[in-house]
Amino acid sequence: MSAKTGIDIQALTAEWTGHTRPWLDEAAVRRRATASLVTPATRESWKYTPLAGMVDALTQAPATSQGAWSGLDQPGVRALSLDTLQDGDLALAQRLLAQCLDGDRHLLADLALLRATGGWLVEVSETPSRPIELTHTAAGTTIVLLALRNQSTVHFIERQDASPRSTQVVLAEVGQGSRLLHHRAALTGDAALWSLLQARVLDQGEYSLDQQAQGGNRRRLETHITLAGRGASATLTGAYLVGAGQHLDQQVVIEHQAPDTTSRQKFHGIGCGKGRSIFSGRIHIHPHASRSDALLSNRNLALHADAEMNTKPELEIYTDDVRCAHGATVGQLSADALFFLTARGLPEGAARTLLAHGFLRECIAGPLTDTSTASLMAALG
Amino acid sequence: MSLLEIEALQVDVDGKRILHGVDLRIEAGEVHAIMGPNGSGKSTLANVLAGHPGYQIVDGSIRFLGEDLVALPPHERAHLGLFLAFQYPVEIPGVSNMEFLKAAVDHQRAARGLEQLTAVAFMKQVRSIAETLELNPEFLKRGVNEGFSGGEKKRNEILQMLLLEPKLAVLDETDSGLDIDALQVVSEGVNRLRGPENAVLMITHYQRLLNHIVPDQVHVLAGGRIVKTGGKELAETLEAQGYGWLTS
Repeated sequence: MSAKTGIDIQALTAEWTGHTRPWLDEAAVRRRATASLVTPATRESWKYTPLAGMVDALTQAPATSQGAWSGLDQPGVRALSLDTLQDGDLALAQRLLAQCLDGDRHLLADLALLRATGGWLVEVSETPSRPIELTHTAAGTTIVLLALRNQSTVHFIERQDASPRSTQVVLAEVGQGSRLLHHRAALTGDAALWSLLQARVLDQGEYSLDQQAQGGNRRRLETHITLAGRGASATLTGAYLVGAGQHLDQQVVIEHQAPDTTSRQKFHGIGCGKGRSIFSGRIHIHPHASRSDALLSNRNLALHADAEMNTKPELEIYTDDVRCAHGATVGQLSADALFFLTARGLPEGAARTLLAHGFLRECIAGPLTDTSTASLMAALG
Repeated sequence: MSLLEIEALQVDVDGKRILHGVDLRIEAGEVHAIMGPNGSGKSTLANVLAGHPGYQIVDGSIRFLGEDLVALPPHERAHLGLFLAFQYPVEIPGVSNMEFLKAAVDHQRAARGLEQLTAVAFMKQVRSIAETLELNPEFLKRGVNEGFSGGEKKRNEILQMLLLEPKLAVLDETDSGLDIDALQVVSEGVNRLRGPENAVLMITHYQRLLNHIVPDQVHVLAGGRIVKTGGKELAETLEAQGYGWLTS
């Protein structure tokens, strides 16, 4: 047991061993989870969201997945249950698990893998004409392994559908020259949610994310992108809103592991009640990743005096010849813009609302724009 | 009753007195110009009229259509028919020009007891005005003033003015940053507003604007006071001789 966290991985997972998981090296994952409990990285990462509470929520969620899929029945798309994998598919799943989920920062992912009784392997070998969609419809533990090959382009839409106590892990490998265009909305539901997207992007591959999120009881969204191949790129855009009594923790990590890699991040958030938002954006430029180009912008508006907006941009650079910039702000609506609108006849309340809507809309894009905008604007008032 | 009556107006900004007692009266149908050296208080006067919260009125009065303007918040001044064309129009990314214009028109019409324009009628009106100002309709879809050039921002201000049809338009250095062609287009827009019911107060550094929008009166504001009033010829004199002879 870890004295600091009060979590005993062996005891916690002892009763989860009844299900056969040939795709998982359970002993190794258990060892890794136990080791990661006490690392400084884990402690720092869980500074604002109670780890024990999230582990408790994970434990209480059903071990089965309740996701509803569409778009898997297209040419070039193969979707297989993890429990049925054999031979080459099994080897692929094991390789994705080993390569995508690296490092010591994924305690919850390891627990989810040990907890899950199933999941999917989705392999895309040619560009489908329609998006692949996954809606998380009910409480559960969802594991998705996604592999893009042959310079394919996939729109992957992921929605939360008021699901209580959900744990979701999506591990993706974006093959050479392929593009994963990820659209994620986490807008409904008030119970605990923990979600991880970890993508490994190979040579000239591209990952993009449009994410719209609202706070909940305990809600934590993690995005970890590894630019592993030369010329790989990532573009992340997000809008979020935290209302009274809500909690939203977003952890974004971009690892530049190869030369000539590019990342762009732009996130806007609003706190409109006595709630708590955490945005942690870390850019890690590894040795040999020369000519990396990384930009991170996170702007927050605190519209309520008691709104707590935490933002923490981090740069770790271990090579020369890079271009990196980050900016993070927490502020109020622009007084100049407010005067401009009121001088045009908008009462102050209407002017404030219009400005707040505009601030969020700057970071809303993709196929979920209409529904996400409607949901966020309704919550904002 | 005058359209605008300013009496003995004294204004502070951050504790420093900027206007030391301004008197000005504008009747409906008139065009006035205010000129003056840098720092004389011209933009302060414009912002005070519109109700900028950063300016403190220490003494004096402002009456607009007989109402005590000082007692009203900015949006109610706009509802009464006061319009300020900003010297530096702000950019508001994320709020489209069209959405902003519709909100402004809707609020003003509601306050005046007028029926709301349908979306089609509104679009038609906006596009028609944009065309006369040689503003590409694509600008209407973009964020308010987002990425606009200086000239486009000023034309956008005039578009708002023509759409809102104010009783008094205060133009704060609307001519600054405009090339000759843009100045012509903007001036034509202002002249279209002129009528027996409306008035215009132009703040400018340059006589060239007054060649396009001919004023009834020209005032010189210096040291926070109006030190000279005359006709259009006063602007020509200032262009030739500067302000030294008035302020020394």
